[in-house]
Amino acid sequence: MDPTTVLAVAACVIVFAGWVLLPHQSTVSTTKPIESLEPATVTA
Amino acid sequence: VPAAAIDKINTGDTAWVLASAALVMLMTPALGFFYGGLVRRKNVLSTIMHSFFILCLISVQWVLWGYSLAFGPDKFHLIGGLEWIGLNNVGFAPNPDYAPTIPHQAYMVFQMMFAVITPALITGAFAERKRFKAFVLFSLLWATFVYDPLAHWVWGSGGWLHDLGVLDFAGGTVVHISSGVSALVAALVLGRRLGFGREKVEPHDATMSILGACLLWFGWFGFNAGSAVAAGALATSAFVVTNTATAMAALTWMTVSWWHKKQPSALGAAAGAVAGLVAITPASGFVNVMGAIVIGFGAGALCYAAIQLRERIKVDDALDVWAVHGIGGTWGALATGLFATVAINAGAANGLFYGNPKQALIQLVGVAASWIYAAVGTFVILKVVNIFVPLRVEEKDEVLGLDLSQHGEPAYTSTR
Repeated sequence: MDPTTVLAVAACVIVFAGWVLLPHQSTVSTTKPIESLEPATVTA
Repeated sequence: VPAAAIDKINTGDTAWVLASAALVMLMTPALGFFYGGLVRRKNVLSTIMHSFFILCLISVQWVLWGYSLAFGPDKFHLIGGLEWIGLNNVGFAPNPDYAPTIPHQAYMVFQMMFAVITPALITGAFAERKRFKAFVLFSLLWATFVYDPLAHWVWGSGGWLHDLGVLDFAGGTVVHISSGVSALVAALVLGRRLGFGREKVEPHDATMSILGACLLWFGWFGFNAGSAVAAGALATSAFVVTNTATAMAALTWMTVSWWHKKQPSALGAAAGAVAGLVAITPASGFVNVMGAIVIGFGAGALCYAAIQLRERIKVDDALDVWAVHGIGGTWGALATGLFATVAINAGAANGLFYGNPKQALIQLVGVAASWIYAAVGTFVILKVVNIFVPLRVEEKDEVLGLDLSQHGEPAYTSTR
């Protein structure tokens, strides 16, 4: 393999390995889900 | 048109370049939406207006004098002459110096769209605080005194960087370094937005920004593959490496942000794609697909790091034009000197990794010249404009928002 290909493969390994190894931290929602909102009252 | 000139015109090449010009045209309103989603809702219309206005302004400037200054007959290796002013002598016969198989006006209008988007890129730096009148004057002067000469240096027949052998297929130096560095200077000269660092400023519509980024990606095929100015193998290669580097940069940015902030950012993936598009631009006619992967990887990582640096030094380049275009363009231009290969473009040169270290040095000269010229030119133009029109809106207008204070129109009439 030529040096460019070696670098490209290394870059792909780093990125792909990141998805496997990185922990995922969920955010606790501070807003109400849209389904739970009351419809607005429209007055004339 | 003389029959001999008609014989040289290739209809396939002409169709591709005209279609590419239309693709690149779409990038400027796409940029408006990319930027528009990233600002607060009180400034979205003014942000989109910046791009739309520049599309109109430079379309006229380019046919009057811009094309002549950038591509006209060379004067002292620094600027084009005025012989082509008002498109005088720019007709339908091909110009062999630039594009031997398409009408000269097709090449002119393709280049026009590059001249349009470049000053539009800078608007992200001074979003949410620049006075519209000052923006108009700045854009016209910047296009004339920074873009046009720099385009001549790199792409014009007889330009000094062109003659030196700088490789810039579609505008890493001319478009992205020039706009990115100018954005940094503009952000420093204008100063920070009110409340910068104290109030949280969040994008008002991430979906608008991601749609804008997708349209930029689409238009960029014209930007890069169209720069082959022919419908053939080189255009195909440029198309493939553009898509590859863009995807790799988006994946890399998303992964880096995942590592840094514990979550993969959707807006980050879109910004990463734009960084990849920027970085592959100068290299797109010279590198193979493996080179494109490395360039995309570098763009995602370096541009993300540049944003962290920009935040740390508290420069209010509002939409990170310097980090994405300045640093992405610099990386792409230097990487061209590393990964260029004559196996892709026999008319160019090999880079460092293919046995020609001199090309890396030539690219470094091109990068340094672009940084210095853009920085000094932009600083001088801003100071001159400021003599006649204050660059910033008044504080009360900034608080109200530029949509109402500068244009008298709200972007959204609903309050919900």
